[in-house]
Amino acid sequence: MLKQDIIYLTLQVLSCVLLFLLAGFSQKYVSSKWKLCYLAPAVFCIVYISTTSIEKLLLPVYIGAAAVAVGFFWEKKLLRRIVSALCAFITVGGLIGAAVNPYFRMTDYLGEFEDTLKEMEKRYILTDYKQIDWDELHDKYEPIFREATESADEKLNCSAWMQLCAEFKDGHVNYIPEDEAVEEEVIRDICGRDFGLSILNYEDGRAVAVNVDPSLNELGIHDGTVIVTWNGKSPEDAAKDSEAYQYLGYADEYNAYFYRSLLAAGTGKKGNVVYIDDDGNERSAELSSIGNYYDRYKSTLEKLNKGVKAAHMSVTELNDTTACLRIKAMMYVGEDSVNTDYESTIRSLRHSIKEYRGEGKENLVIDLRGNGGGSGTLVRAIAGLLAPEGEHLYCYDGVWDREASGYKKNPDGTFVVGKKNTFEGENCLGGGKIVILVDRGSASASDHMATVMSRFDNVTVMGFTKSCGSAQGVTGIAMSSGGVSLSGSLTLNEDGTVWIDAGTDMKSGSPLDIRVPLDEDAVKAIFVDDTDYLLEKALEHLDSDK
Amino acid sequence: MKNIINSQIKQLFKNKLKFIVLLICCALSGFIVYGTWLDYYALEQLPEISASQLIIYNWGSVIIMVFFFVAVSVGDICAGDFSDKTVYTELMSGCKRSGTYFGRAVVALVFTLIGSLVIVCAPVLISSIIFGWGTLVSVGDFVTRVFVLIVPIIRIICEFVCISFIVKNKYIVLGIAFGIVELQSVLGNLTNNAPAEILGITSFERLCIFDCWATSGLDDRGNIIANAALPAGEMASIYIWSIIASAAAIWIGYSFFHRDDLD
Repeated sequence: MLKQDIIYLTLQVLSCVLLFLLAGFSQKYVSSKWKLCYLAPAVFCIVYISTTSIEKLLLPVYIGAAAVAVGFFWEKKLLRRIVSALCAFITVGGLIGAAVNPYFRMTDYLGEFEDTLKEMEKRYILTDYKQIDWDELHDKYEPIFREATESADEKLNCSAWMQLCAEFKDGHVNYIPEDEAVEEEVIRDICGRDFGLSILNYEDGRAVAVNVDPSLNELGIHDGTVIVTWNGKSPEDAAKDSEAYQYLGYADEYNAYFYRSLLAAGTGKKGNVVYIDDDGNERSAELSSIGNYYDRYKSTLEKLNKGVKAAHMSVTELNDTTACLRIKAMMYVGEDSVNTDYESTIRSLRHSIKEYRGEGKENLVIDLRGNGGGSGTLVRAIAGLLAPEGEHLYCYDGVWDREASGYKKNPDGTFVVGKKNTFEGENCLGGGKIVILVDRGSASASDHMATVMSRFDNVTVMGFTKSCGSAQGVTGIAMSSGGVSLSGSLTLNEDGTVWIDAGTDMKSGSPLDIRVPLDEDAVKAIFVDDTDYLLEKALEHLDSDK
Repeated sequence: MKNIINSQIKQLFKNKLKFIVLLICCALSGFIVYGTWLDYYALEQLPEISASQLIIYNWGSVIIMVFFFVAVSVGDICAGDFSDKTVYTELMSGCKRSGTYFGRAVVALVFTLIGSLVIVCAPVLISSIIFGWGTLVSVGDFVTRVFVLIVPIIRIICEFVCISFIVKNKYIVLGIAFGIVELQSVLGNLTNNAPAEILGITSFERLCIFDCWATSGLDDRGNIIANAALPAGEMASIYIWSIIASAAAIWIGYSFFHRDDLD
């Protein structure tokens, strides 16, 4: 129930009581002005509706407010008292009814779904490329949203949107709920139980326990213990049983493959695990739940992809020859939050880099892990600062066809190429080596930066997996229950193919020059020694290049 | 009533106040056109400078102008004659109250509606002459909107007729208009879920402010796509509710004036 509802309904009851008393008073002190007071509930009601919305459950209250206006036209004391009392009773009833009714002020989830899906179809630019069948999506999700509406189930609505968005396999298609707590509840519901471990796969395919709870050590399960089966299935297959599996919308096959077993350890009522102990013997155990798997899932990802602990957009020393530029998002909140050319950001970066170069630090690690994107203009400014001198290609724009309300296509199915976006290199680093660290969370403008800079000879992109692989411009659609973001502006390669984003093959164009294998050393470093393994590998790579 | 209408028309042309206000409102259209020009050159995001760009970005500015013009015009026609006691003289000389009420209401309705439409269309026409029509909105969609807009304007006029005969003071009418605009700007921000037809001003907003979205290049001027065509159901709803509200306002105003103690 909204605060406005309580205030309005209370005021309406009070005004009805006053109008009841006024019926007698106006007979004693006669004036034609008194009757205007009987219009007040109707006027307040209109103001109230205009600031909230029409609520069907309050229809009797609206009618009651209108009925009091009878006192304006007929000045009989009894009639005025009857309508005032009636309206007061109806309003009190409405107040109580509204407080206990779960359908009160409930969003029409189905209507919202219908409208938003139509709008998405109009705006989404990768429909053909990703072979999105809008009718199929509608038919699949319409019953779920209908159920959410009929049962006034906010969580079901949220989970349906999350699943629907995952179907696109596009990092830019996301549901942003109005209430983040609802989203977390949904995720907790679908992640399953925590049995004290997560499962990842080594490069050679073996599934291993990671982020293991110390309580499992007495069973001989620790970080790096090989898991043979989980509840009778290979961890990869067990992960597919997780309800959360439907909510994964990896845009790129690398990420989907790397994290293929991560959801397994949340499945089942009991964790029946078969594993290889330290002596090489196959053992089994039945693990009991110790909580919700979401917490472990989250902490596993955090340990794996934590990134350099440094301030956003700061340059810090890593060793005698290398500095690190940490970019947590492609945006800047200082003076440049209003300057779209990012002049002061670039000035400050230029100064820091030159200072470090003066100290002999010729190499740079750019840490884009967990960087969900932002401004392409900032990418261009940073890439320009570090690029070799001369003109460099960023990407091509598409050409909008106003008549067709879509991007223009060539007869062969590729898009018509529009403006060529370029930038000038400044070579601020003086030719030193650059390693860009990426993970699955490096999305959008981070994808741009990795892709644009990977074209330079002195740049190496490193990670366990590729970056997200979603690089189109984003648009948003607002709803009462939240909002949806989606790819709405096209960026292209020179040949008119979509830049970076993957089609149905999930092979994105985001670069990965060195795929760091997840192996025994990596698991030990990350989950036992709590070190930044990827950063160590980056420094190793830079040192080996000397 | 015929005599009242004739005298009101004569008074309309004798008293230049309403024409001056209309002229000022039209002159303010120049600022809307300037705003359109400014948006194009300062924001560097808009795809074109044209009348249709004005319609999408700045047309909503006419709402306030129309609202105050209606308040001034209707207040002067319907409430202005209370202060110099003309209404009392009319009634004492045998005029029926219905004639006094509806005679003024008709003149107020016709003159204010024409003036409002001039304010609504002036910036678009000026912009069209200077910059051309453009491609963002078709002329047909604009004309349809103006056509639908007539009914909410009539509704607002009728509501002010009602208010004028209740308060009987043109300055208070203007004050009420100011209060409504302020209230709308404060309360209107609480939520946008209210149906457009609930108030005359919200119907007006729905018709003058376009839903639009954009696509853009990396750093190029974007493409603005306006959902210019209004759903038939919504148009019908605005029409029906505006007619009902107009009739109710006229009826309430007359019911009050008909039995009012004129002291």
